[in-house]
Amino acid sequence: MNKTNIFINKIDELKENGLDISIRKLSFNNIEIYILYIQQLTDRDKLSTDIIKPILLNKDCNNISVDKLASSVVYIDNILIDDSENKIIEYILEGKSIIVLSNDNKYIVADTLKIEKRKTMPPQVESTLRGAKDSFNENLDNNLSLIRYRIKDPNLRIDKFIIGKRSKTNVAVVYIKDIVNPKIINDVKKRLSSIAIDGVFESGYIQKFILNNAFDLFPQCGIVERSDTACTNIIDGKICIMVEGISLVLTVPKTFIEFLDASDDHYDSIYISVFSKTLRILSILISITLSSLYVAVVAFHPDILPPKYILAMATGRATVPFNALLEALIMEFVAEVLREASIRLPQQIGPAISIVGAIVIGQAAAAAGLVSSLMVIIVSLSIMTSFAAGDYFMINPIRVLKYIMILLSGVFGILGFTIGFILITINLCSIESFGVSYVAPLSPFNFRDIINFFISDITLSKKRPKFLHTRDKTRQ
Amino acid sequence: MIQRTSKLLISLLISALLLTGCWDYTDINMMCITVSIGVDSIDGNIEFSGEIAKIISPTDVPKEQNQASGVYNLLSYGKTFEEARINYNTINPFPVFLGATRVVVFGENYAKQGIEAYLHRIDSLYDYRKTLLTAVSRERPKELFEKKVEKELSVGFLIEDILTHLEENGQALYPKVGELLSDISFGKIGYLLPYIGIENNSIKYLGMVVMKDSKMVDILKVKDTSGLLYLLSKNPSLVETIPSTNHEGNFLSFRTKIKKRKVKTDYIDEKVIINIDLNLTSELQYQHYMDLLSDQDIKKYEAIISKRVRNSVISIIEKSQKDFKCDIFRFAKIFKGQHPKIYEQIDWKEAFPNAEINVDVKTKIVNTTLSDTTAKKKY
Repeated sequence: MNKTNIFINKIDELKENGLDISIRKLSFNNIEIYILYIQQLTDRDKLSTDIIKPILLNKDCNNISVDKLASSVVYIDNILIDDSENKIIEYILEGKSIIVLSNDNKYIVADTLKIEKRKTMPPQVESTLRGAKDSFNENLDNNLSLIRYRIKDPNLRIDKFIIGKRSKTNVAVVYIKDIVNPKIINDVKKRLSSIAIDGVFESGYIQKFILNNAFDLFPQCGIVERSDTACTNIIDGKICIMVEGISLVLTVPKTFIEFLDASDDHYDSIYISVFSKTLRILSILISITLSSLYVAVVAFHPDILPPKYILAMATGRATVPFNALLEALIMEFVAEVLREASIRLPQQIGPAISIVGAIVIGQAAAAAGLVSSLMVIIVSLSIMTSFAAGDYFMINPIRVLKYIMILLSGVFGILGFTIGFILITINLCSIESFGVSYVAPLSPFNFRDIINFFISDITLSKKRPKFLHTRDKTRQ
Repeated sequence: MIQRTSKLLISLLISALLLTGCWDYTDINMMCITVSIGVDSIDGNIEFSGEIAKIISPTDVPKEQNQASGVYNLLSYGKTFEEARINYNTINPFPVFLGATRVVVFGENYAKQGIEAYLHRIDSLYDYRKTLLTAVSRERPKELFEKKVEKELSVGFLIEDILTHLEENGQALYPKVGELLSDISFGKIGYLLPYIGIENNSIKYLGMVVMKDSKMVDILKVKDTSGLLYLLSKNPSLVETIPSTNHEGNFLSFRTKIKKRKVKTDYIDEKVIINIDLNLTSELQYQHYMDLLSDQDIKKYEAIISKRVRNSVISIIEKSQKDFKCDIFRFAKIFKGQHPKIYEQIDWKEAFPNAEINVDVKTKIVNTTLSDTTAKKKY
C-alpha cells in the first residue's frame, strides 16, 4: 500500500478521535497538502506566513515533493522530515505542525510551537537586595537562555531527558563538563533515566525521585529561582536540573551549611558576611531549641536561672491554666496555623490574618491569662528566627523538629532536650547528598572551606569547595 | 539496620525514662519559691523563718506598684530541722522550691551553738544552690524578715545586694556555702561570716562574725575589718584618709588597692613562720584643700599608708592568735600546700597561735589626680 495513503487514512482517523487537531487542506494540481496542528499550541501567524503563504505562492507546481517543500518553499527554521506514521500524533501534541503531501511517503515536521509564557519577573521565593532580579519562569527555553547568556563557556553542557509517560516533560541537566565531578553527573543522569512516572508537573517530583530516601527530613536539593544563583552553582561544580513548565530549578548536591548562605553575603564586606552567617546559625539553633528549653526550665530545672528570673517566670505564669508543655504546644500550634493561613491566602487578605494573629495571640491571650507573656515572646522569636535561615526550604524541617524537641523536653527535661539534639545531629551526619556528606565541610573536616563559607569573599576563595571533588579545583 | 536503630532508640528512651521522668514534672508557678531562710534557736527549738515569693499575676498588680511579685513570711518550729520542715510543709500550698534561695541568715543564738549541721543540710539538699550567701543576724531572723523593705523585692534580695556590691568594691567578704563547707572539711581553721542587723529602721551590714569550729566567737565591727580585707578580699579597695603633713587641717583621701599579695610560710625551729608581702597601689582621690605635692611628699605618704595598713593587718592577726586562737585567714591551706609533710606532723591549732608572722607592706602612689609635681620648677 502507498504510504501516503496511510497518512491520509491517519488524518481521517485523527479527525474522528476528538484530539482537537486542526487540519488545513491545500490543493495543487491534483496534489493535496494537509497541514495538521493544534490551534492552542501553534503560532498561527507563523503558520500562515511561513508555511501556507509560501506554498500557495509557489509557482513550480509540477514537481512538488516533501523534500522540495522543506528545502525551498517553507520558511520555518526548525524543520525535519520523517516517515513514521506513529510519531505523527506525538509531534502534533508537542506543538509542531505536520505537512503531509498526498504524493509523498514522508512528511515535514515544522516547529511552530507557541505557548503563553510569563515575562521574566523578579524572584518571589529567593529575594535579594543586590543580586540580579531576573528569575526563571515556566518556559524551559527561556530558562536555558538565561543560563547561556551568563555562562558562555563551550564546556557548558545541557543534557535533555523526557520524563513522564503521559506528560512527556522535558528535563534539562545543566553543568560544566570540565568542572563537575563525573561521578555525581553520572549518578544524576542514572537516577533521572530510571524515573518511570506518568506525569511531572513540579520539580519536587523529580527531587523526590532522585533523592536517596523519601523519609529524610532535611532538604538535599537546592531550589533556585534566580538565574544568577543557578549560574554560581554551575560554576562551583554543581548540577542544575530544569523542568519544563516549572520556574524553580533544582541544584545538586547541596549540604546543610549551604542552606545558610545567601547571595548577598558574597557581595557585602567580610565582616557583614561573618556576622550574617553567625546570626543565621544562632537563629536556627534558637528556633529549634527555644520553646523546648522553656519547657525544660519551667518544668524541671528552674534552678539553672538566676533567682530573679525564676520569680519573673513564675509570676508570668501565675494565671496560666495549662502546664508549660501544653502551653508551648498550643502556642506553637496557633502560630503555625497563622503562618500556614497567611501563606495560602491571597496577598490582599494575608496582612489581615497577621493583624488578627498579633491581636489574638500577642495581646488577648496574654491579657486573659491563658498564656504567659514570656511564652508569647518565645513563640514569636522562634517563628522569626526560623525565617532568618538563608534558604526558605530549610524552614520546614525546623518546624517539625521544634515539636519533637518540645515533646522530649516536656517528658524528660534537659535530658530529653539533649537526646533530641543528639538525634538531630546523628540524622544530619548520616545524610549524603549525591555522595557528598550533608555536614561537609564540618565532616569531613576542611578548615579552608569553613572559613570560605563564613567570609564568602570571591577574592579570597581561590579554590572550589573540596567536598564537591570537582575536576577543575581552582577558581582563580 | 532499621531494627538495630530502633532497638537503640527504644533502649535510650527506656533508660531516660528510668533516670528521670514525667513524675518530676512540676511547673515553677506550682511551687513555693523560697527567697530566703532564717534559722535560729529559740528555747531549745529550731525556728525556721523566711520569705516565700508571692506569685501574683501582673494584671492583678495595682498600677502604682510596678512589680508583680512580693513575698510572704514563713515561720515554723520543731525540735529538729526535719520536724520544723514538716511543720512548714503542712502550711504551704505547694512543694517548697529552694533553688531560688539567695541567703541563709543564722540568728546569733544559733550561730553560737554552731551552724555546721545546717551547712551540711544545705550540702545534702540537692536543690539548694551551693553559691548561697550565709550571714549572721544580730536580731532574730524572723524580725529581720518581717521588716518591710522598699529598696528591693524582699529582705533576702536586699541582704544579697548589699553584700554583693560591698564585696565587689572590696569592702566586705561574701562567703558562699561551698567555700564554708570546704573550710569545715579542711578542719583546724575558722571562717568569717557577714554580720547584719537593723539600725535606724534599715537593714545594715555591721561587720564580720568570727566562727571557730563553726561557732560564733566574736564580732568584728566594720571599722576593724580593714586588716582582714587586705588579707582575704579578692579586690580590696579601701579608702585611707591621711592628715596632710604640710598643712594642718588638710586631709588627703587615698583609694588603696592590692597589686600583689604573697604569703610565704616556713617552719624553723619547730615554729611556723608566715611572711606576708603586700604590694599596694594608692590613688589620690582628692584633697580637702588643693595643695601641691612634691616627690618627697608622695614618698612620705606612701610610708604612712604602708604603716597604717601594716598596723591594721598585724592587729587583726594578733587578735586571731591571742583572742580567738583560731586561723581565720586560711594560712593553714597555704602552709599545707607549701609544706605538706610538716603539716601532717604538727597540730595547726596549737602551732598557729605561736606562729611568727611578719608583715611587709609596700605602697606606691600611682595617681595624684594629675597634680604636676614639677610645676614650681617649670614656671
